[in-house]
Amino acid sequence: MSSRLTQAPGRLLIRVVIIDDDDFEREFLVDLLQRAGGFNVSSLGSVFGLTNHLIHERVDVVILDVMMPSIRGDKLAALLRKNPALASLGVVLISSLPEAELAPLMVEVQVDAFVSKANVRTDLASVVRGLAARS
Amino acid sequence: MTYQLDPECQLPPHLIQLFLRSAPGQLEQLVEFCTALDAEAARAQAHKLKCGLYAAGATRLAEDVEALRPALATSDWPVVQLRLPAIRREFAAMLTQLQRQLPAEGA
Repeated sequence: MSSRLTQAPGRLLIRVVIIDDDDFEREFLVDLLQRAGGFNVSSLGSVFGLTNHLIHERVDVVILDVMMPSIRGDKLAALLRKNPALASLGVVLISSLPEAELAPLMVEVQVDAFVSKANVRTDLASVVRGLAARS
Repeated sequence: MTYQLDPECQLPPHLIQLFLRSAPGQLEQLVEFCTALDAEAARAQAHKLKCGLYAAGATRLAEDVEALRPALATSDWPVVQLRLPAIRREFAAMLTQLQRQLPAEGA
């Protein structure tokens, strides 16, 4: 797991965890949010220890890749939604699946947002900020 | 053949190096799954490859890989085999462009 502050201590940072099994994709997303500024970003390559991490680190928003080998991101989101200790957690799905395939998933698991991997550079930071502001 | 990467999607050197280490193997695995006529594995691999290509700024190539999906979904292997060589050529040209973005050793 990597964890890096993105700004000087004392400023309010949005705590974000990125879950993606692909090393490059994961590091790319960490780098993207760090460059955007305002985020305390950590990442995991698998879901082991995730719930514990989310609770103890008081994470604001979790970003889940949909296509992961151990458990799909949408299934994981559904499990997180059932945990009352994570009621205020913002959940974002990211995928390069076509929107026609993702729309039913979003309704089914009640995630807060979906960002296409084709648009993460332009959309991800603002979507996460919006969710954090809401909560 | 020169590949045009999206100029707004420039990666820092450590991510370029990570991509150069992982993406070629992902493409080769895709080719292997296609050769073995394993549609499910090939679709998953195409998806993984496509995600990395978007991040690297190789949008056109990502769309070419996405265009394999309908053929893979219907196991239309002749179409897949027809498209793979062009994808490999473009991929190699894209890697060359990415390598050029790395600072020279010792610089």
